[in-house]
Amino acid sequence: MILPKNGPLPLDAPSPGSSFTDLLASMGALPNLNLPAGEKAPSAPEGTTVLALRYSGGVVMAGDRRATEGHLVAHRRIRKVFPADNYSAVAIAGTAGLAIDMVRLFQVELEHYEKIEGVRLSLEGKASFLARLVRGQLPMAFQGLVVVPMFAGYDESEDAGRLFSFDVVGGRYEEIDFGSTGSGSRLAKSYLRTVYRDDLTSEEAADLAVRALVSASQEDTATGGPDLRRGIYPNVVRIDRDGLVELDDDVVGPLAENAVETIR
Amino acid sequence: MSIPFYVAPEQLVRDKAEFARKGIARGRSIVAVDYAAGVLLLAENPSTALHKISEVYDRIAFAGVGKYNEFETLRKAGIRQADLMGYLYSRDDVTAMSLATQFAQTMGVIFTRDPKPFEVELLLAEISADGTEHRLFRVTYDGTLFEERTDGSSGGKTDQL
Repeated sequence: MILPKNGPLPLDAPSPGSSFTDLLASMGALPNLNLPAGEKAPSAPEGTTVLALRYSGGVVMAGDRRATEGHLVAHRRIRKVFPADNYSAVAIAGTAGLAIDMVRLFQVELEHYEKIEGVRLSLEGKASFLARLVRGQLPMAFQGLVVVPMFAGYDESEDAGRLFSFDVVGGRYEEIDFGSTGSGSRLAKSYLRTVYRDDLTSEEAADLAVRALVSASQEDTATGGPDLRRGIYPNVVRIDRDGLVELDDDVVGPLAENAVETIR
Repeated sequence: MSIPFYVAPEQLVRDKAEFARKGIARGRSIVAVDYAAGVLLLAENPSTALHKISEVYDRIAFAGVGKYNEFETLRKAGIRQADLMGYLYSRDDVTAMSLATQFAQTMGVIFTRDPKPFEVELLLAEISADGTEHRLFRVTYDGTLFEERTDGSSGGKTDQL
């Protein structure tokens, strides 16, 4: 890192001066996302199925807890759904190490912007920025280290929950009902397609999210179903006008047990 | 080639200090008061466009008085530094003590090196994780750092406050 010339504090920052990521880049402190040409990427744990769905007034986001490395279970209680700030959340699929690091940078970016500017970024602004971070991973994607997040939040200007899915090149797509990414995403979406309604309550949406994950775990070995013996349940967050709430295991546990018993 | 006039360092520092003090005295006051549950920062701020008091980090707040563009530069620099430290290490590693010394060093460098010193004075308040202990720092235009025990004030009519 380069030390600023006016004593230790960074008085100058690259314009517009509100981006933490650009500040890191200007100091040469961003992680290097270019592998040397011809190198084969090491195998690393991968996060699997995450999903989000809208309900009236908000959005629910959920993810299973498994990370895989080839055919092996790498982690049983990994977290793949993260609060981005008080009104939005991000979920990750793909190379877990890179994705979790991207989320950390994204969280600091949103907080940094809010403190510097005195207002929060708009939901669109947050989604665009995340797309830019995904785009920055492209050289790694060519080496097989892919990161594909989902983003969901409450849009104050529209008084509604909104969700965005992304592709590997940083394409950003708004979903109007539900979305999913990761190895079990097709199974989860197939399930949601048959049961989704426009007038869901937040409780119903959380229940459907857990059921869709359990449903995906029945056929996709990389998606971890609820582990009742160890007490490992999906991560579920709800975001609406009152902000982001992470559902406790006391709430998710019964939903998961119910889903495991009824889904064939 | 013309030879610049010799000015004694004492004279130079005295002039700069007097200049900065006058600028700060023209500003509207800020006060910080320690109370049972935390630290209260209060600023007289007739403008809706100025950030005189600001969040710096989880439990650290900033208040500045003097020339607006100068303490705004310092406010943003403090936020940048806090977020950098928290990102590179951990959120627990960001402390007001560390930030206060860095404010002091930065303002000290500017005071001695730049033709015009910053006409600003800063307060930095921090509460501990459990909320029982508070620290309050004051940094003056020349980079002097004070730790205040119960209350601090800067700018305007500080003696009366």
